[in-house]
Amino acid sequence: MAMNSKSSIGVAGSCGLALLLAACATTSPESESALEQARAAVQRLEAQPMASQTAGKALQDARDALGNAEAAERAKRPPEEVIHLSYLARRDADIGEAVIAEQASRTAMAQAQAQRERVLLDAREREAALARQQAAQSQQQAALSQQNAQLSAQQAQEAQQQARDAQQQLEALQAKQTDRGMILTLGNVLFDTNEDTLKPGADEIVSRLSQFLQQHPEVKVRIEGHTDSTGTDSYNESLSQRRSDAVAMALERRGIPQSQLQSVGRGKSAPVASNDTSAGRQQNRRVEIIFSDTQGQFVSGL
Amino acid sequence: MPRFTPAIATLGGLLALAGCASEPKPTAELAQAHSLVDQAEQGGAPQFASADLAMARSKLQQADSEAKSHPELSLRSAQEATVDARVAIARTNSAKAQVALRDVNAGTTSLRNETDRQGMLNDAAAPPPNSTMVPPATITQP
Repeated sequence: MAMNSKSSIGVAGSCGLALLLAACATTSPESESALEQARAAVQRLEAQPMASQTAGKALQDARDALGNAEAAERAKRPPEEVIHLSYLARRDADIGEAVIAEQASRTAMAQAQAQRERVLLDAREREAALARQQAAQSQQQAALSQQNAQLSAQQAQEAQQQARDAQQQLEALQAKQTDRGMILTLGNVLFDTNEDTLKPGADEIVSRLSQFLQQHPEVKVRIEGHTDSTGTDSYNESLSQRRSDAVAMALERRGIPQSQLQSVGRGKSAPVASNDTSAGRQQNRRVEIIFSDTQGQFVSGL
Repeated sequence: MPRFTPAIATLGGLLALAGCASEPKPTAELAQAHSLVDQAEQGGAPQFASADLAMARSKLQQADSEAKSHPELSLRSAQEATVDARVAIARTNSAKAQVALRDVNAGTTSLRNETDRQGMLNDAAAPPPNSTMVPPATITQP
């Protein structure tokens, strides 16, 4: 009995006896479901706007295959055949979807390559702009440093000239070069004995001195008052201070700023000659004008 | 008696097959299925569409095995193997195009990042000639 049914199915399958069997078979839920899936797949493909342009062949194949499956269903063909034909339709639709996706990637690729080109171009332009800018900068810097070099050479020349002028003018004032710098020693031309007011005859030297200091604002002067050893220390110091102050004030009155002037009373502490003779004492009673260099530096500190 | 039943069945089957002379082996369909499965295998389907390729192979094997015994079933299997192989090829091509697109976009992004980084270092004095930011190209699904 079992053998009988087995062999009859085999015969039916291979010989188209199935036709007879299927003719009276009702539609199966499996074949209906397969057909429904195929219809849905073909509709999805048809709904793609690019379907007919990009995947025309796949779309036509899918429609044809779906038509075959539907015809088989109408003709009440066996469910296996309807399922098979539905499968072919569904897979043709799959091919169509894949072809459309591929085409979309290719379209996007063209755009991506254009973008890449633009980014490359941007990078090159930026590099070029940077190079131009750097070139301009270094050119500017070169010009600037040349200018600076010229300027400092000029300044050095000017400073040398200034120093030479100052030296010449000091020599004209009869200042002497000593190991404490240029010093102008003024004897009894400025003050009478024991006086701390400038004599009228002092005007000329004060005037020449102030002219010089106006011409050379970078030069400072230290005005030192000195006495001989006659009298007490405190008297001598006080007198020498008042005398140097008087010179400083006379210069200030002629417009020399205080910053250019120092005033020191040194009493009898720094004699230049013996106090034992009247000639020596006369040499010691003096005012010394000590000049700084053109940088405002004295040879030795105060 | 039971020992004879297979012999009878076979005989019956042979008779039945003989009666089916109008249903020959689907040679052309089998050849086409083989050719497309080969094409899919060589074209990168093992990497990009392995499921579709596996289906195609298994149906092709089935079609081969029943080519003589059940030509009608063999024909269906061969047709399904063919369409599966076509799906595998189409999906492989699509995946390859997508990968290529992704590579180009990734290259552009890293290039842009590098340019922007350099730009930031140098931007103090030199603004980029064209700093409009553009998002990477993407597939626009219709």
